[in-house]
Amino acid sequence: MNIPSLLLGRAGQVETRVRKVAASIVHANRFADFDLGPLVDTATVSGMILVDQESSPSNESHFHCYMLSSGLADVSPQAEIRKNLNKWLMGSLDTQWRFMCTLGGEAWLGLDQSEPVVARLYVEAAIRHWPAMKLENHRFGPPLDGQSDVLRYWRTLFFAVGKLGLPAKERMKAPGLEPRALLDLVDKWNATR
Amino acid sequence: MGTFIGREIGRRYQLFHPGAFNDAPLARIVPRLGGDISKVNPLERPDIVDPDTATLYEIKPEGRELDAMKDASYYQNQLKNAGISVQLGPSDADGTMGSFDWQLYHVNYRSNFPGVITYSLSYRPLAVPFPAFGPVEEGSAGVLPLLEGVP
Repeated sequence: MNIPSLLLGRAGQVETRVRKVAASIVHANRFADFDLGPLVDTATVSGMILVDQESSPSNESHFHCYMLSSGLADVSPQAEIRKNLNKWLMGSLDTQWRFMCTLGGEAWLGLDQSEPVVARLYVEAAIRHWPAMKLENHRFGPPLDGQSDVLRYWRTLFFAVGKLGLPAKERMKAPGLEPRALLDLVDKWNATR
Repeated sequence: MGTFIGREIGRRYQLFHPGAFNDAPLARIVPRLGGDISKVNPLERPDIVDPDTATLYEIKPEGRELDAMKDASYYQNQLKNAGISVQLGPSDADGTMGSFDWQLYHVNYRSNFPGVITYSLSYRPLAVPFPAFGPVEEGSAGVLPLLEGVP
């Protein structure tokens, strides 16, 4: 899996870089085709692909993918946050590294004011990316008790299936479901109502 | 340990309330909610602030409920000073109760008071690999060969 090297480093370092690049993305209004610089193959370096902040501060280098959405939200004008994140999210569904940045953080805001059909596009993108993600599932963090599983904290996916009608309590009854199975659960739930 | 458990509880809360800030500095929370950052210490970090429900929670180990209440009230006042009104979160909100395993512990958490989530730790038995006994042949792995001349 290739991820921009800009996202690799200690939390404080990456936060500073991301904030700068987020400001230029918002300023240029280029949410779908911005460039974050050279990519690094995750197989060639150590460090986790983080969906959320580390469980405790550390000096280790990780891929802080969640920071891009939070950075974009932080530098957007208050009234534009959801609109900007929606543009960014919709432009991030096809490219693998862009999609990795949508898993956590505040990417869900991009779906907050969208129609369910947009949330479905996100879940369908998750289904497309899942085979490659599954191979790297041991790299996603933060881990709990040494176990990594992106399905635990894929907040944007959970929010998307919520937008599609599946209540949080139903979703929580079925932890660890892969995106395809989650979408099937949504369809089954909606069919019974 | 406290930070780890607090952030893990916060992440679980976020699965029900995606908009909640989990151990985020006031420097992020206050501007996002349209408050005045100059009125607060930007480095301070309340445990959970949920803008969608306008509530907050402090997380502490069981037995420190009073400290958690004090901290929760403190942050409520800080946010008020910044022009943001939040209430202490209700004890029965989704995501305020649950459990998970971590290292040697089973962690249980719940909210018994508004704005307060407490957790308790109990040791959990760990599965220790134990060698299987059965018929083995001399010379196979794990069996020492008999030395000549040893009675």
